[in-house]
Amino acid sequence: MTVVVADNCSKWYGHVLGVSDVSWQLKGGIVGVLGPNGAGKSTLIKMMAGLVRPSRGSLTVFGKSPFSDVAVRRRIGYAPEHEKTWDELTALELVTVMARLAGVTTGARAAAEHALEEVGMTSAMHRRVKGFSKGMRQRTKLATAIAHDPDFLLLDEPLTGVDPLARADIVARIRKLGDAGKTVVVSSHVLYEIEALTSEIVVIYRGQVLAEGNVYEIRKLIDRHPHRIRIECDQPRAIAAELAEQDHVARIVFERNGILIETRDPDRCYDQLAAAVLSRGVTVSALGSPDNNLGAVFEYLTGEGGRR
Amino acid sequence: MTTGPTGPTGPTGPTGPTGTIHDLGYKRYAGARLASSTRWAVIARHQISLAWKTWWRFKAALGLSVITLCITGGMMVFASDRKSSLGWAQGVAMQLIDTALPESIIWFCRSGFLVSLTIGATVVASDVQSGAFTFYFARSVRPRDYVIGKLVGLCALVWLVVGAGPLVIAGLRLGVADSGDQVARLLPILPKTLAIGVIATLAYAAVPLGCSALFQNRRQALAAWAAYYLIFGGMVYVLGHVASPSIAALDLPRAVQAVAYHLFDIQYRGRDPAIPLGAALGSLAAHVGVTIALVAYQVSRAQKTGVGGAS
Amino acid sequence: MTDAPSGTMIDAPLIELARLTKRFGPITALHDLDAVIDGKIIGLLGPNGAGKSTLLKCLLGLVPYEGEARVLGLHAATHGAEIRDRVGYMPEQEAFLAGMSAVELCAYAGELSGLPRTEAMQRAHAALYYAGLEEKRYQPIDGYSTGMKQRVKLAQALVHDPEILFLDEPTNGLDPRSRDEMLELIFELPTRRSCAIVLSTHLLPDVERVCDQVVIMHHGRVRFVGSIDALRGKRGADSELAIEVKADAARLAEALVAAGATCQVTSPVALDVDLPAHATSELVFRHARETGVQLRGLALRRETVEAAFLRVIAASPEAERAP
Repeated sequence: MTVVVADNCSKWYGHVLGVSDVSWQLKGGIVGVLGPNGAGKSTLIKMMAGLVRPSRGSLTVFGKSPFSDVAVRRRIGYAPEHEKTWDELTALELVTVMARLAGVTTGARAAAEHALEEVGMTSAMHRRVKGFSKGMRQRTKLATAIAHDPDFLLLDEPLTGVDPLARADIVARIRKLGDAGKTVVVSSHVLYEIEALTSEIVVIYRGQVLAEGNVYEIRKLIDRHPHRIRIECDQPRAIAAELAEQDHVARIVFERNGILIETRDPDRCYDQLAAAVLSRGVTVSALGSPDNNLGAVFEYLTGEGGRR
Repeated sequence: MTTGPTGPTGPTGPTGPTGTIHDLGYKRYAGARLASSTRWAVIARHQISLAWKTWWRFKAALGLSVITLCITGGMMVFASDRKSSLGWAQGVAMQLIDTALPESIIWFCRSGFLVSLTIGATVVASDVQSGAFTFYFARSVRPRDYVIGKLVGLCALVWLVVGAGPLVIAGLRLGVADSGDQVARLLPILPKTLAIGVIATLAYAAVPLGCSALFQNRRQALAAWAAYYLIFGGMVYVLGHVASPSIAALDLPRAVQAVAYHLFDIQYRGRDPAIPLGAALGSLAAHVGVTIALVAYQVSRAQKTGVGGAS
Repeated sequence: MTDAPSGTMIDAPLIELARLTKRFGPITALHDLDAVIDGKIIGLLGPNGAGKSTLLKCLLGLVPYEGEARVLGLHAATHGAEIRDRVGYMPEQEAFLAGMSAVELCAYAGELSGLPRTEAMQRAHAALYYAGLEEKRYQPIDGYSTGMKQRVKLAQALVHDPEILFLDEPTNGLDPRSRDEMLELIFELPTRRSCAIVLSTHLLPDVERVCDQVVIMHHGRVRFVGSIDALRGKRGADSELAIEVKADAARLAEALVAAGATCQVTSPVALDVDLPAHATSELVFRHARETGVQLRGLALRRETVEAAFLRVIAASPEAERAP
């Protein structure tokens, strides 16, 4: 079942634009939401969390509007980016209170304990939030979001300020949640965090959904930027000679130890490269595509006026 | 800021065109760095220019002070002009001219309170809230430079409001004197007015500064100062009516007024508590001393914790 | 006067620590640190609670300590103020004064670091140009976006011409494009401004991108000081390769094993290969063609900074691991 359906959805705050005419569907799995500051990411996430209502159009989660339907809100777990918590409470008390507020009527404390164990706070759950490091706060936030066992998780910048030890751990736990069948939406500015979690992304730009789906598939669609393939070897010019005749090759740049090829058909290019290497007896020390990653895709989409 | 190559000059020849590209590259600072001990002046100057910026903050209080000055001075000049033609009221007029200055002190104090509300009471709290201590103490600013700088800056601002006006009135008093002899006799009012100005300045600069050091939030600091000044001050003033008058010395404006009355030999009228000089001076000294100590303590603590943040 | 490459400006190493210890009552935040830290851009890494901010406070002369700590050849305990005049600090948290524009703040910063008034004003503008805030520098900081605030923080640290810049999480809260721009600014600082940089951050790929030296701290001790290359171990031998394919990594692995190589399949599209003696990457290409697998990536195996970091931390003695 489709988890989120946005239909011509727009949101303004007075004159300030949140999102504009968004039609989008989220089917499931772990999805990364990216976009420049002010593009509308937080607005979209808040609408999915039921904190704001669309000014126009509709946005439904599990078929219902999360703003008005309390029952569907119980199936949503939201970890916002900034949170003022009651610092005097212990982690357990805090998560218990939040679980009760989220609708867990009986066994809230047990659910909170379980959630805190799930996020790796077993030993620290009885300490006051006041003295927590950023990593522990993020874990507590995550626990708050999963305590009432929601099916849909919204995590806004869950890894900000977290040290590398904790980061690896929290990433693993989020992936476990995704494997367990929950739908997880993660928003972050740090692209390699998203890369570590998923290949499915949604790019929000100027209040609209600019791109969605698998990163590598999106990359293929960006015509204006032919794929770049870099090869370092002992006979770069020989390889260049072989490929220069091919019509899919748009440009060949000679670099220090090799060549950078821009091609409109990476598939054929890789095959022809391999053939050229073997026929000319070239020793290759490195081969790769420097822009087939999330960072490059994001830059291509949102840089230079954001056209494909 | 890129280093550009120096362009080639034009063809050699006495009449050939030439061109140059200047190197806009970065130049290290090789000049002297001013000693740490001068930082307080920078901070004081900054405090003053910041206060002067908005139209309503400092300028409103200054305006009130100027109005007080004008009214008092006007009354004095008017009374002096019409002295001779008032007949039976002459005695009253003479008394007015003599008492105008000390009576106006409490009004200048009110302007001083306005300054403290808009500026003084939030200085340190505002810095804590906006993270300014990290800014200050990551540099070669010592806690004492900060405290002295802020104090001097505030005192300059407050003095303009509570000290300058009375001095002008004192000058006017000398101006409306009948004869040279009277001027000579009245000369001591100048140093007396100066002393009152200094005391009032310290009271209205240091005490709110100390209050602002107790809190980490501007609004709380402001509320606390207003509460202390108005409510606590009001309470002890009332207490002074019913119990010993010395208690009323804890109300700052009344303490300053008491000093003014004693210096100018004014009698307390009616049921106003007659605050003895000793009590007034003691109260003021205690206020100023405690608050400066408070600020110094808070700021040197902030130096250790301000920089670095969470590890 | 033109800028000279950093490292030739001063003879003393940037930071020297000898038996540096800092105790807060019963808690020891820094244990007996011994290190010489030098370089162009130095990454200061460590989990939360490792003692990085305590170290910074000691280096700036803000807290007393036992042992020795020297910055630019000066003892931090006695010459703290002078050190702070020659060092710039870009804090992680907000550190502004209310009601000022960027230019006013930077000029004030310059004056507070001992520059004469006009000099401070000139350098404030220069610093703001460098940080990319040319257009908005007269507007009050209160109205700035996160990216602009980070740039102002960088500018105010640069105004007084520091020789070292301490940057604490400089890319915090920045969107991907601003993050890239900030990292570029940071990377160019040593050449354009002749200052060394100590970068404290949790984002290890950033470190991989800009730093040449790293210091790793854990539980108040220094676990590693040295270049990034030294951290990752020397470049893997030519025979250790990381291969990426379009599909069917396992099939290629089979063929290569039959040819005498050692393989480990890490995902359906990736495998690690150790070539047999005297073989080159040609072996891989040949078997790829024979098995009909399309090669998409080939590189010498190199540990990422993140992996190296985790390795160094995990190697801490058992006794210290409990928080």
